Amino acid sequence: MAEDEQRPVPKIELEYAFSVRIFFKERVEFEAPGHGRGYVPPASGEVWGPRLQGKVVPYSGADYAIFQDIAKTGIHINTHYMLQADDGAWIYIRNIGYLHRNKLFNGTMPKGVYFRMTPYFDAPKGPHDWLTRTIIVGTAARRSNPDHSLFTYYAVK
Amino acid sequence: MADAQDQDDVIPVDLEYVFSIRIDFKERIRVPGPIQSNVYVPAAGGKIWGPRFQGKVVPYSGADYGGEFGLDAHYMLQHDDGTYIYIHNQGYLYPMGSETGMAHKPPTKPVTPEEQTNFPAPPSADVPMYFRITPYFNAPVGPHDWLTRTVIVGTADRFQNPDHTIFTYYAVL
Repeated sequence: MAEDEQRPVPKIELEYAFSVRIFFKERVEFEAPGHGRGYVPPASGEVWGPRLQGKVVPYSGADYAIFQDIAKTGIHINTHYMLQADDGAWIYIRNIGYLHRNKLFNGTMPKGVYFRMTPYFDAPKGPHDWLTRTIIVGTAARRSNPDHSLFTYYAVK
Repeated sequence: MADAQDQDDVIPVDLEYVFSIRIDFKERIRVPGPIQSNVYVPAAGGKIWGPRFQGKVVPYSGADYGGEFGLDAHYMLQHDDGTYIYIHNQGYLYPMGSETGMAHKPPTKPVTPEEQTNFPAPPSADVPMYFRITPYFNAPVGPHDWLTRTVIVGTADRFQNPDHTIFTYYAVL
């Protein structure tokens, strides 16, 4: 199997797909016996970019984040929402990922906050069903006044 | 709500190669249910190399239980320093251009044992595939716990004789 290690490392290409901005109002958290649990619903939001345009359906779900000691280990993002495309199609999004301010594995500090995710989707058969068979990675930024997050999603080609 | 400046606001992302995993397979069992299929493809063995992780796949520590379009695999890895690490390897695997998935065709008659076992999994060289994954890990607090706070994305290639897959993983920076 030594030849496996000599093989050129296959490359990966990302292509900007769309952006999502979500505005938040309520931020609830509580201590469950083994971990902390958050509930942060989307009050509203919009979707734009080359491959998807529409809106986030208000109060269609939430980030049900999981955390322990937020300052130390950050949070595990765990969101379920509905989106609605401009053509009326309903699209389910499940987003998992991480948000923290820890040092990265390569010794560098994240620029601001490390806020990355991998969404999975369900979409009706038709123009949006590529979402159900495409790996997508996202990067996001926290913004305040008003409280919102801006997500940038890339399709893995 | 969105002003012109925000419309142009695309946050850049960087990838960094972290490690590769080769998994060797033996059993390939398919469970073609009336509504959806899933598979049971355990890891017979495997190894891990690259700049950020060196070790092995613990033989028969789990399997791919994936469905119509892809992969839903749970295994244990062991670093060369002895540490056990859990991986949930989730993603998509289907022939390029396919819109119906590869594993599932609704059965029209009872499936023979022969049809249920050793289902074909052709090499990437014969059938170009979209084979991309997003692994999530759990590792004990210590030198490998970066795996529990780093989003990782991967690409993979199928091989035959012997039956194996090589996964190449990049951290999302």
